[in-house]
Amino acid sequence: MSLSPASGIGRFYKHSAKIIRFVRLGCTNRPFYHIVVMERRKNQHQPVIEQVGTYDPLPNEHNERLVALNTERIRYWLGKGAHMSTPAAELLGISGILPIHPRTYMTAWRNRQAANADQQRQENAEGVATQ
Amino acid sequence: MAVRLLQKSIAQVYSNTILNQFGSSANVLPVTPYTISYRNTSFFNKLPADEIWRGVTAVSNAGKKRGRGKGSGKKIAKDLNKGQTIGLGKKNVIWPGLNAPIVRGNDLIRQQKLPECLDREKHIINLRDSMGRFRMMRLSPIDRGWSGTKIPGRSIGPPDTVGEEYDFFDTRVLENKIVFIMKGNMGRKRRYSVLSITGNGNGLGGFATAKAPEVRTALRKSKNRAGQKLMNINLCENRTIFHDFYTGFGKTKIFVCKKPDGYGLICHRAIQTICKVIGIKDLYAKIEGSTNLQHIVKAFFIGLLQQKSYQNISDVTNFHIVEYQKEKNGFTEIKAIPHSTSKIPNKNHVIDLAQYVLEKRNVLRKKAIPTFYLHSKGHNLFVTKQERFRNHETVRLYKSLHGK
Amino acid sequence: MSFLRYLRKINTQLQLPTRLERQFSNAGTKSAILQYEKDPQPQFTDTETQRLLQSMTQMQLDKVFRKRTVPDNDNEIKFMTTEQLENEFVKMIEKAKHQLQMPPVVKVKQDTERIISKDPALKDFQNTKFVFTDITYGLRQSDRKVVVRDVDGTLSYAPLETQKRMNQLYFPLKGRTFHTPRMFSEQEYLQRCLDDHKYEFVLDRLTVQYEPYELDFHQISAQVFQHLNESKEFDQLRSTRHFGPMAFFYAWHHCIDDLLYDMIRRDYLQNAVELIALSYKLHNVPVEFRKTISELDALQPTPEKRALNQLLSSLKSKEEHEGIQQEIQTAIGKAESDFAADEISLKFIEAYIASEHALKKVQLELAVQTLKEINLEKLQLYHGLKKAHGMHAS
Repeated sequence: MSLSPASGIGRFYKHSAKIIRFVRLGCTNRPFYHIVVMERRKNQHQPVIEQVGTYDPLPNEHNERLVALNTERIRYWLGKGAHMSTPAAELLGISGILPIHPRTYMTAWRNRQAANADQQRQENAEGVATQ
Repeated sequence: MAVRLLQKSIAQVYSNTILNQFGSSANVLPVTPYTISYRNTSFFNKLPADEIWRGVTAVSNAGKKRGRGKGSGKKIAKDLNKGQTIGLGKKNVIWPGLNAPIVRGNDLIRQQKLPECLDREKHIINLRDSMGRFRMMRLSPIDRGWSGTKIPGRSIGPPDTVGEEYDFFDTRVLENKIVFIMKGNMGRKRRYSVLSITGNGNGLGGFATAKAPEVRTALRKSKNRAGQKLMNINLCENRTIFHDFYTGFGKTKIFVCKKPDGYGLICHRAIQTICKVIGIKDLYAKIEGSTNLQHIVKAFFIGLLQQKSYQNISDVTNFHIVEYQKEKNGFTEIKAIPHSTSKIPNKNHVIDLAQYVLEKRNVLRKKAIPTFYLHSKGHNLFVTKQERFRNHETVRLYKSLHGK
Repeated sequence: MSFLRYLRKINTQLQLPTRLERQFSNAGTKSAILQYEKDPQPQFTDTETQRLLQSMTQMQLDKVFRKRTVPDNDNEIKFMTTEQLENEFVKMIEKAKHQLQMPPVVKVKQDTERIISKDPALKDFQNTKFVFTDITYGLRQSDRKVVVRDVDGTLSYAPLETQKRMNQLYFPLKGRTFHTPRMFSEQEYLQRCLDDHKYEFVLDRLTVQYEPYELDFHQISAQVFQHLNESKEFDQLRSTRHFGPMAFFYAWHHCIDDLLYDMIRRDYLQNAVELIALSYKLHNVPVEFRKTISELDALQPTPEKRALNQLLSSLKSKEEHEGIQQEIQTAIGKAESDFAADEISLKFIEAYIASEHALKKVQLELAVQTLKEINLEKLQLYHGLKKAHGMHAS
């Protein structure tokens, strides 16, 4: 008895809807994701068809977030008509395999706005202080 | 209904008997013919504890003659309860009803503290000292034999010098037992039989059995006799045997394997002792069949003496003998070259050297029996849950080493 | 724009200054670490150079197959026919050749920035960068693509350092550790190893931990070779895979004299000639050495053949050894052809010592003189013995 291999043990119908999505592993306060292909209707902790990558959302000691992608298999499943969950699509977009997801642009824009607002507020506060 | 009636009657009988005992018969119930016999006395409350214990643990006279039950009478530890009574302690207090009568004459005695008695403790200590000492026989761990203070496995020094010197020799006892023979005039005669092995740790070794009425004499006799029966045993690289071999004596069968440097002696304790005395350091031996000690010793010695040299094997089979050395990354070293290279190797010979030296025997290699829980549901679940921690130990070690 | 790129480059360099680099830059001021000023690879992989280096390395089988600590040290005793044994010997030589395969000497690979796309609209999409590794099965380590999406939205190929780190993370090589071993990251540990003369250990570990094109590989190996040149323990590396790169290093940097002295002292004259030839070849010195080398090659077998002959001679039983000629040769350790080869070699070496290329002339001349005297004695003994046995000196 052991953990299922990366090639997966999930059973699936030929014409059922497949999805490329994250599976949250790790533990409390330490998320770690597997990027997998599975039947769309299934729960994330059910057996998967195939694991095609990993994603570590916590930055490492070099301040990087590490993503591993089996691009060959991802392209295969996308060609087969697999769907994508939004986070997975965003990640693939950032990686350069797919076009950037619109939501990434939105997040980037919002982050910039927030940063600008912050800066503005600080400058105002400084201005008040100098007056 | 019937059951309840029965219960009732039994209860009545019981209460009757109790009442009879106390002799009071104020309102006697009708006496039924059924009574349960009740004895007031038995050996249990007539005899003192010592005698009862002796009755259980002692051996009969006949048994004693045969040497049975030698350990039963020994005192193992001191009885610390001796000299102590309930009510008399460190503090000298009168407890009416416990260590003094309640009424003396017409006075009611009250609880009272008396001045402390200093002699009491001394008296108890004296009593304990006088009880005699029980002491375990102490042996330094180096001198110990196979088991506790028993003689087998222990060293009894080199054989006594008679004509020749036995420098660097060591003798170890392999067996020490009592044997009997019948004599016409004396009946059963008891003697000690000792089997011991002596050797110089460098290829010389000899063994002998000797019998004597005293253990000490038997030890000495067997030691000296072993010294007279030395045999020369060739050692390979001064640490092991030349090749695997099979040997047997009676129903004892031994398969002995040559092992690389640092392997150690993985075999029966008697063979271990023999090897240590002779100077063999690495060897594996498996005994099949009888484990009679004398037979093991004889079989092992026969095997050691019947080893063939590489040159001998090579000449007989007309094969080269080579050693494939894994520690040297597969270097193949020639051990022997047949004398007459012109002859073609004998096709009838076994091509496998292991088969040749074991005389076409196969060692029975039993499969390890899997644990009973191996494929149980619970164990499978445990293994699955445990798998996520499989790398933790190495990671922890790595982190402790690199401080990251 | 180019200015910005320059700034970014500096930034990345500043972000991850390994301890090693800093220490080496410190050490550099103390005793200069020699570096290959141009790409040594074409010269090193050249067939002629390789042959010279292999010949210099020699193939001492008892050193190549020396005892090591292995998990399973069980020895197997087997029957073999003569034919099988001869095949086994050939296989062993192949194995030894494999063991002596030299790690290549190539130039340091420079990090080049290769940007795939720039997207200013992605600026600040996250607060850290993302490193993507392609884990497609069956790719070679060097073909594996690693890309980085920076915080400002630039997608580019990862620098070499990151690429190596990711490869080691997802496809670990046996023996290579994720973090740099302290032996290489801290100078004092390396120094201790060198002072204990554990050269082969250091070099073996270095070959596993670093790729040959890395700067650290070059610096540490140069340090080891320079230390070795001072301690003169060259024999430790003989018949290991590091001897070739070491000789190449000395020849490249004009410091062959100590090694040459060692070779003459140990009576490896052919090797000495080869070393001089290598240095002539690398620096394009107009001295004709190819003729001498080919003459020597004709007289003496290659190291592989020599090793194989040695193995095969052990196969012959004693009677076949009986030949008097053979006996004399084994007693003296040299045959007729060896004396002839020595003569040619000595001539070539003396020419080198007389030229302006030799630096430690006195020492070398002395060594050559001593060797000549010993050789002469041996030759006289050889002829004397031959005469005594009634054979004509050819």
